[in-house]
Amino acid sequence: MDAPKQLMRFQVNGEPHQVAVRIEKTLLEVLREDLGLTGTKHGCELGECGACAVLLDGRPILSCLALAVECQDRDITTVEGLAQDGQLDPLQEAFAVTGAAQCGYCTPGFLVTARALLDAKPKPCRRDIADALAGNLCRCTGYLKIFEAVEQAIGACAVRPIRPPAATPAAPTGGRA
Amino acid sequence: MPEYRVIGRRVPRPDAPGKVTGSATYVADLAPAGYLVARLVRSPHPHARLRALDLLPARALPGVHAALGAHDIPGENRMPGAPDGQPILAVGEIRYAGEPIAVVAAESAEAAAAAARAVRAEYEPLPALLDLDTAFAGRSFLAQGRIRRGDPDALWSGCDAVVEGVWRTPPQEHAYLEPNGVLATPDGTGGILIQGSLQSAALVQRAVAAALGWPLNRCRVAPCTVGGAFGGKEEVPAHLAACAALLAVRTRRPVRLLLGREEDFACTPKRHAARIDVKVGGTKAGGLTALDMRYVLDGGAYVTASPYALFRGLTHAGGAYAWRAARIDAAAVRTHHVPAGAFRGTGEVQAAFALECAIDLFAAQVGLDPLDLRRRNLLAIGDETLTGQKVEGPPGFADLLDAVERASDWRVKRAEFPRSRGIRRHGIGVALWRHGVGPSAFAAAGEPTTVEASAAVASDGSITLGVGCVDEGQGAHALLAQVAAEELGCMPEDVRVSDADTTRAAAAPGGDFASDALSVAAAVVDACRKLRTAIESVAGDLPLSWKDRVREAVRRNVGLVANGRSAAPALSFDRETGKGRPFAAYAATAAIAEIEVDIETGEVAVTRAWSAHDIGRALNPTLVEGQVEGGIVQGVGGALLEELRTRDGRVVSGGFAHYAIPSALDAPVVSALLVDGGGAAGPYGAKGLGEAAVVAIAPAIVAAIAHATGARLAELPCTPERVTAALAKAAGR
Ligand code: FES
Ligand code: FES
Repeated sequence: MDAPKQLMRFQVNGEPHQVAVRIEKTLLEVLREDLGLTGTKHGCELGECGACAVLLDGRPILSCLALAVECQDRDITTVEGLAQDGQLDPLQEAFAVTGAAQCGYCTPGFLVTARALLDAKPKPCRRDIADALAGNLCRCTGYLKIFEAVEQAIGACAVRPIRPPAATPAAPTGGRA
Repeated sequence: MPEYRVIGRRVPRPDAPGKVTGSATYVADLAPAGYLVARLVRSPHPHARLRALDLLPARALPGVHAALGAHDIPGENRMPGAPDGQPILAVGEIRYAGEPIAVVAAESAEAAAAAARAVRAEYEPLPALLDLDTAFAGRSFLAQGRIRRGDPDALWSGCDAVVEGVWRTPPQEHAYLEPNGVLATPDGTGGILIQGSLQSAALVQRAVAAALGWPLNRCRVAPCTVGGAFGGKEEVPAHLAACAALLAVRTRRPVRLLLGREEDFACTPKRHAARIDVKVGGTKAGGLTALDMRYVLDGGAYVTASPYALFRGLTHAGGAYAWRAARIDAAAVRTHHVPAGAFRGTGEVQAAFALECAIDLFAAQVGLDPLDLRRRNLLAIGDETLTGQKVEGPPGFADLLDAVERASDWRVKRAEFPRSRGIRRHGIGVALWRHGVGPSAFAAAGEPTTVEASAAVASDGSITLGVGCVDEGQGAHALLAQVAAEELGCMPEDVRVSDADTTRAAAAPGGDFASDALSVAAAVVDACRKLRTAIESVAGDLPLSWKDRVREAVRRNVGLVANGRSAAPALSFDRETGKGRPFAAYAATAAIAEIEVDIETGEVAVTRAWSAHDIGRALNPTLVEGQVEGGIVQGVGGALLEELRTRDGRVVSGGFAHYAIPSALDAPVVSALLVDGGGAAGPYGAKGLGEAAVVAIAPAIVAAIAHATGARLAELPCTPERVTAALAKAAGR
C-alpha cells in the first residue's frame, strides 16, 4: 500500500521543516503524527468543532480540513508556538488564571484563534470576540471565562506586540458560524 | 465562621499550564512504538439475530494482526456488574444499532477499516421496539419504582385549580470535545496497562480483568487527561478497554482504540429520553396540595445506568415543595435504542423540566407570580419529603429565590415585558430545584461505599495524594490539592494528585463529581490530619517552616504516609415503597432565564441567566463559577438546540453539523450567585454543586417563553418549529 508521497517544506512555529507526506494527509495528521506536535487536537475531523485550529500565515484555519501539501512554503503556528523565549503568551497566562481551560481539549484551538483576533484587532469588544470564536466549540466552560480571558489578555498585549498582524480577523473556515 | 488559609481562595489549577501550552497528554496523544490501530465491528441493525460471523477474511488482509469475536474472549463476555449480562461482544441477539460484534487490530487506520469491512456477519433482522409509549404499554421494563403519600385522588375535587400535561425530553448527547478512546499495552511482566479518557478507573479495571480472566492486580489503569465526560465516559471506556486488552494480549502489541466523532455520537449512551405526565392541584391562594406523576424513561437496550437515573428521578420528583398527597410511578423501559447512560443531572433534568413547567402553569392558572407561589410551598425544616426523610438542614430555598429575584430585577421585568409589542418579545421565567449531594443510597453492585485516599510526604516536603477520582476537567484534583495544603500547612503547589492510577489510588466511586468532591475531600482531610499529628508529635512546638518540620520528622523516623477514609452515612431507599433517606445532604438551585423570542421565526435566544446555588462554602470560587456557567450553557443547549434524532433505530444527527451544541454566540451572560445556607455535609462547610447547575434552566426558559408570548412548550428542545406551533396554538385559544 505505497501511496504517493510528496516532499514538502513549511515553517512551523518559526522553524523550517521538510517532510515526505502522503498527498491525502491532512495538516492535522502531519502536525500530530509526523512532527509530534500533539497540542493541536482532533474533536471531529469533520470541520465542525474548531479543536484543530492552527494559524496559516497568521489566519486561523481548521487543520483537519486542510491537506498538508497545500501548505507548501507557508507559515504555520500551533499552540506550541505561542510561548516565546520560554514566556507564555498573555492569552495563555489569562486562560490559565481565569479558569478558561477546564478539560482543556478545546483550549489550543481557542488560543490560536484568539491570537489571530488580537493580532488583527488589538482591542476587540465582546461581540468581536464571540464572532471570532464562534467556530470553536467548548462543552465545559459555557464560554464566559474564555471571553474574560481574552479581555484580560488585551491589556497585556498592548505592551507586547506579538507578530505581524493579519489583514482581517476571521473565524476558522468551515466551522459553524 | 472559621477562617482558612487556602480554602475559599481562587487558587490556580495545577493542570492549567499543561493545558494552555498543549503539553497535557490526552489518550490520542499517546503513540507508543509499534502500536496497532483497533476498530470495532458494529451491528447496523437495532434488533437482529446474529446467525454467523466469519472473521477469516479480515484476518487474511495485509497489515491485520487480529480479528476477534465473542468466542475469542478467554474470560467473561459480560460488562462488569451488568445485571442483564450485557456482553462485550454480542452473540446471538443484537439489541441496538451499533452494538459491537467483533474487534480488529491492524497496522494502520486504513488497514483496520478494511479489516472491519471484511468481517462477514449474517443477520436475521427482527422487529425493533423503538417507541417509548409502545414499550411502556407492553410493559417492557428495565426498572421500576414508586412513591406514595396519602391519596391524591381524594384531594382533586377539593382543589380550586388543577393543571395537567405531558412533558417530553429527547435523548441528549454529552458532546465532550474529546471522543472516547483507550490504549492497552502489555507491560512485559504478565500484566497490562490501560490508559484512556475515562471517569472510573475501578470500573475499567474490573471490565478488563473479567474479560481476560485475570486477577485485578495484573490490570493497571492509569487515566490520561480527560477531555470532558459529564457522565459519558463510564461504561464506554470499560467496554473499549476490554476490547483493546483482548487484542493487546493476543498480538503482544500496544493497541489503541479511538472512536471517531460520528461513531461516538451514534453508539455511546445518551441522556434518557423521557415522557412525564404530571397533574398538580392546589388552592387559589397558591397552596400546592396534590401531585400525580408518571415518569417514564427510555433506557435503551441494556440496564446500564437506568436504575440510577430512575433512583434520582424518583427521589427528586417532588421538587422543593411540601405536598399533602403524592403519587409517583416511575419506570425505565427497554427499547432497541443505544443504552441510555448517566449525564450530568441524571434522571433529574427530566423530572425538573416536567414538574417546574407544571408549577409555572399552575401559577398562571391561579393568577399568582410564579416566584411567590414557589415561596409559599417550600419544604421547611422538620417537614417530611416524599420519601419520608425529615428535612434537617436549612435548604436555603428562600435565600436562593431572593437572590435571583433581586439580581434579575424580576418584579420590573415581569410587569413590563408582557407589554412589549413587535416581533421580538421578551420574557423572564424562574425554576427551583432541590438536589441530593454527596453519597447516595444508590450503590451499584460492587461499588465501595467507603472512599479512601492516601497522602505521602517526600523527604523534601512535597506531597503526593493517591485518590480514586478522575479529574474530568472540572478541577477536582486542584480542589484536593487545596484541601491537603490547608490541612498540612503547606502550599497547594507542594501537592501533586496522582492521576487515579489503580496502582496508587484508593477506591472511589466513579462518575458523580459531587460525591467525589465531598467524599474524597473528606478522605484526604482524614489522611492529612493523621500526617499532621505525626509531624506535630516531633516538631510541634518548634517555630519551623513546613519543609523544616518535614526534615525534622524524617530525621526522627516518623512515617510520612497515611491513609484516610470517609464512610458513607447510613442511607437507604426502597423502590417498592418509595421510603427512605436517599441522601444525607441536599443542595438547591434557583434559576432565572431572560429570553427574546422572534414571533415570526420562532427563534429563541437566552440573553441572561441567573443561577443561584446553596452550596455551603465554595472551596474555590473560580471552579464553582466554571461549573455553574458550563452547566447553564449545557442546559441552554438542551432547552433550545439539542436533540439526537434516530430513524429506524439509527442515529441520523451524528456530528456537530447535525447536532448543534451552544457556540460562543449562543451563550447568555450567566450570573452565578453563591449562597451559603449552611447544613453542609462536606469538609469546611462545603456542600458540593456538581450537577445542579444544568437542572433548573430549561424549565425557566420555557416559563420565560410563556411569559413573553403565552405559548407553552411541552417538549424539548424549543426549536423554531415547535415555538411557532405553540404560538399558533396559543393564538387560537
Ligand atoms: S477536528 Fe473538529 S474542526 Fe477539525
Ligand atoms: S474546556 Fe472542555 S471543551 Fe472547552
